[in-house]
Formats: sequence, structure tokens, C-alpha cells
Amino acid sequence: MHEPPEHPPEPARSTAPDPSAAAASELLAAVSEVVLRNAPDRASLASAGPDAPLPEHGFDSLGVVRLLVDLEETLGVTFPSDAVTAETFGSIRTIADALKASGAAPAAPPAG
Amino acid sequence: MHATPDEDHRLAHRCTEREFTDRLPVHPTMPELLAHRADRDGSAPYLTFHGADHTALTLTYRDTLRLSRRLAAWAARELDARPGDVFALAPVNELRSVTAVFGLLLAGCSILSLNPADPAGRITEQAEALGAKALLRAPDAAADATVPWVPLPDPRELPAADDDWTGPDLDPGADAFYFGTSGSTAAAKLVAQSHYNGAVNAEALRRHHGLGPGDRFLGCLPVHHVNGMHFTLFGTLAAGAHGILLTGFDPFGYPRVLNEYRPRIASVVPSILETLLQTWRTPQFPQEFAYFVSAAAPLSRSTARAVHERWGVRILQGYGLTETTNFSTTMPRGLSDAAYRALMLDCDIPSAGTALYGNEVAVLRPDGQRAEPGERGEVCMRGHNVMSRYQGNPEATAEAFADGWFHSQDLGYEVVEPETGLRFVVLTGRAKNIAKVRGETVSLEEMERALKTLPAVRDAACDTAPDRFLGEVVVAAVATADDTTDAVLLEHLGRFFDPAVLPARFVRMPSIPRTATGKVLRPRLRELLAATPRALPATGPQS
Repeated sequence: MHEPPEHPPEPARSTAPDPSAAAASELLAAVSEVVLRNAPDRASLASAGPDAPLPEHGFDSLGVVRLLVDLEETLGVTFPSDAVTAETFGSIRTIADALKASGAAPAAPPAG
Repeated sequence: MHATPDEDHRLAHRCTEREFTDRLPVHPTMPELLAHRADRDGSAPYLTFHGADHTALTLTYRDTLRLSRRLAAWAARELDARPGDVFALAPVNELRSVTAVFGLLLAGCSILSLNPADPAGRITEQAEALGAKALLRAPDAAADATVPWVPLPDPRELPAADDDWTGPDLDPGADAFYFGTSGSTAAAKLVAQSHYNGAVNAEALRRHHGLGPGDRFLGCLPVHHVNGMHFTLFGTLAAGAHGILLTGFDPFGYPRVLNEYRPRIASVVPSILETLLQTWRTPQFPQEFAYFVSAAAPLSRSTARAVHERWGVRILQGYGLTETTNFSTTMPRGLSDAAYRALMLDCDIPSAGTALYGNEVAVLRPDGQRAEPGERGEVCMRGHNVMSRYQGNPEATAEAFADGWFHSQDLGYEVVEPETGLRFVVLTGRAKNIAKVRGETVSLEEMERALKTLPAVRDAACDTAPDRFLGEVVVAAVATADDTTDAVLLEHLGRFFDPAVLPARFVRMPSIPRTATGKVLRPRLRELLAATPRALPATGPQS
């Protein structure tokens, strides 16, 4: 059993990104991957980016619920009940933000 | 010895020895029922239209009658509506459409009810088959713009002078509605329902659910379907109850609406429950809430159990076909916990309940004799809710009414419940080639025929596959002459079908398994489809 290090490992260079920003970026990438594979038109959503409104890219109410289930199963998270709203599923970024804010974000997003 | 089609027709409309001509004690038309309610409970709320933007508009019974009369007068004046005319109507869950339903009936016209999401070809084919005088829709209905629609006016802006407009005397046996149905044949059929059929169904629902003035009923199913029309609109009307009509189902907003309106009953389809089980994580039901009524597609045991365990409420499953107006059976209210558990939760297939007032339901053997409880056979119905005919199709009508029963082509058995002594129906499968996608019935043979009209498709056959949220989806096997893409096939089918029911998957095969006489070998097809690996989710390039 290892004692946790008192300090996080020294970054190799002083210009390395902030670890929380890196985690957020990994979370966004993980969410994005699941959203894109559920998208009726993957290419258009991929080019529109993480702020594109999902309803405008073919996600109807049922598509959003399928997405919710896939996100939870793939990322091993559970959305808290107050985050299960239409607003949460507005875009890739709003989903990632909701997971981050709720503390439900996976500790280590699965490797891509 | 075979009976004549006329004799079969007569017998299929009898109920417990009561001839169809010996009418049950009901107000025999919807306009008469509306007038009765307006007279008796005129200031009571009949319908609240709850919009997607959370706006609400409530009509009393008296308002509804008044606005429907204006709509009838408008149709007579502007569209030359005359008794006996047929009008095609693509109604949506809003005020203009609902007053148009009552207005056209008041004017003595019959209504071809259309799915607004159907493509133009399907809509015009049905309207032409009936010689519809005009095609009507609400201005905000998302319907194919290439159809020559007449927009419905807002009756509140029509002349108040028409509030006392009186229509012709109505014949209860005359056609009130035509609904398209997807039976096992390649072509869709049009079911002709009389005013009296609708009145019997509405009265049956009033009795079965004990609905009465002061009861609230939450409906979100589309009114162009029999369930939305006959249960949400007419079942509440027969009872003098208050219906809350949502524009549609919103999996995030529904819990709030349910708690805001506090209904006693909410009408759903299984896919709605399955969806809500995902989105409604801290369920709270108002004290008044008694149960969901689920119909239009089979309810799975797992859904029934999850609703019972996680929400602590009951589902009363119902069953019926367009040919039997709307409902033939529904689980009764007031069963003991033990009986409910035995019939809905601790069994392989949740029961669809007992026969409703005005009709008989029986499981028959191939020789027409009634099966013993537990013995499988075809579920058949007879009674005062049985349709008049398939419009313009006497052969199909005679076949459906063979031996004096309506043949559902659904398979099942009966269970005698010991506490009540009643016979409960359990549905096990179908003898017809249809899919039920989110409660929408699709004829697989019709889809096969449509696929084969594409020159690149040498042959095609469709099957169903289970789906967690939709209940079932269509899977299409195609033998294509070249590398025709899924997108081309979907675009082609989109000219014939509602986009919601298009195949979820296409599987290429060198040939479709058929018998020597050309019939699809459906068990073999299913084996071949099962052996074809489902395309893995497109996860993108692996790093």
C-alpha cells in the first residue's frame, strides 16, 4: 500500500496545464465520444463542436434518454436527479459541466 | 356449414346475446353527449390544453360545444360541408383540432383521422380513397407542406352568432371516423367506426375506470390515434371528467405536469414508462393519483415490476384494436395486492385484463371453439364496439368477421383469477406481420412492398427486434443489386412511412429466404438476422 504523495508529481515543465483543466478536458472528450456515437448525424455534430445544441442535431426526447443511459453505463456515473433536465442535455459541454458540478464525473475517464 | 358474411357480421356485433340493433343505454353520438354535458355540467372544465411552453388553456363543456358549433358553421360556409361528407383531418393536441373533431361530427360529416407525421403520399392516398372533400390541419401542425392543407381557423375568432348553430340529426350507425390500420396485408386498410361504436367505447371506459365529474385525467398521446381520440377526448366526455391534454410527451417535464394537475389516471404507452423510469429519479405522486393506463403495445414484466418497486404505483394494462374502436380489455381497478401481483408482476407476461362493457373477448381454437383457460389460441372479440367494416374492402371485412367473431390475429390465453372469478386475457404473440414501434403499428409486408419499389432492391423482408425504449424496431433484410446505401433506403421509405417507424437496421443478404410459392420464410429470416452481428456502436477511430 502506498502513501499518497504529499504533493502531486512535479510537472516536467513549469508551463504544463493545470491538472483540473486537464481533467475537465478529458471529461469533455469522454462525453463527446459517447454523444457522437449516439448522434443521428455524427459528422455534422462533430464539426459543429461541443457547444452545438443537441436538439438541432437530431436528438429528440427519446434520443436524449438513450444518451443518458449510454453515458451512465459507459462512464460509470450516475446523474443526480436534479441534473436530469432538458438543460443538462443541451450540448456536449452542458453535459460535461453538469457531471463536473455534481461531482459525479468519473475519477479517471476511460482511456480513449 | 359456413354462415353468410351478413350473418357473421351480425353475430360479430352481438354482445352477450344482445343484438347490435338493440342499443345499449348510452348517448349514441359524441355531439349528443357533448350537448348533454354542456347542459348538465356546462361550467365544469372539460379540457385543459397544456402547451410545450407551459401555457394552459381550459375549455368548459359549454365552451367546447359553443366553439365546436362555430367550427361546424365555418365548415358549412367555407368548405360546403354537408351531411355525409368525409373530411380528412390531421389533428394535433390543441384547441383547433379538438373543436374541429366535434364541429365536423356536429355537421354530420365523417372524419378520416390522419397522422400529421405521415408523408404526403400516404396522406393523399387515404384521402383519395375516401373522396375526402378537404384536408384540414391546425396551422402549427408539423405536417408535409406539399399536401394541399386547409388551415383550421381559431374558433374563438369565428362569429359568435354561430354559437347556437344547429346541425342535422345524426344517425348513430353512420360512419363517424376512419382510421388507417396496419394489418397483416400489404396495403393499409381503413377502419370505419360508427358514432355508436365510439359512444359504447366511451361509456365502457367511464364504467371501467369509475370516471366521473371532478376526476382529472392526464393525456399526452396523440389524438390522431384511436387511444388519444377515444380515451382522452371521449372517455372523459362520457364521464363529465376533466382531461388535461399535453401537446406530447416530454420525459423531463412530465413529472412536474403530473404534480401540477394531480390527475387520478394518466394514459401512457409502455415506452413512456420505460423512459420515465430513467428520467424521474425521485418520484413523487400526488395523493389523488391512482394508476397509469398503458396500452398500444405489450408491457413487459420488467417495466411493470420497476414501476411497482420504484414508484409504488399500479399500471392497468389495456388492449384493443382500431377495429374494436379502442379498448376491448383492461385490468380492473381495485384488485387485491395479491391478485395484482399474480397477474402483473409474478408472471411471465403482464395481463391485459378483463373484457370491457359492451364487448366479449374470447380465446378461440382454430376450429372456432372456445379454448380452456391456459390454452393458447386466437384472441377474438364481438360486441357493440366492433367496427362497421374495412372501408371499400368487403373481402377483408368478411375474413375479419368469420364465424361471427372479430379475429384480432393476436395470440394468447385466458387465466381465471380466483378472487374475482373473472377471466383475464394474457397476450403471447401475433399471427400477423406487424411491428409496434413506440405504440405505432407498422405492417412489415407494406414496408417490404415499399422497399421493393426501389429498382436497386431485388428483394426485401422485414422483421422486428426488441428495443428497450421503443418496444420494438423494424429490421430490414435487403438483397440489393448494387451498393445502395442505408441513406438511400431510408429516404425512399420516408416517402411511405412516418419517420418514427423506419428500420433501425438494414442487413444485406444475397437473397431473401422464401418458400417455393414465394412466401417469406419468417422463422428462417429471423435466424439469419440473429446470426448477423449487430453493427458495433461507431466509437470512432481507436487511439
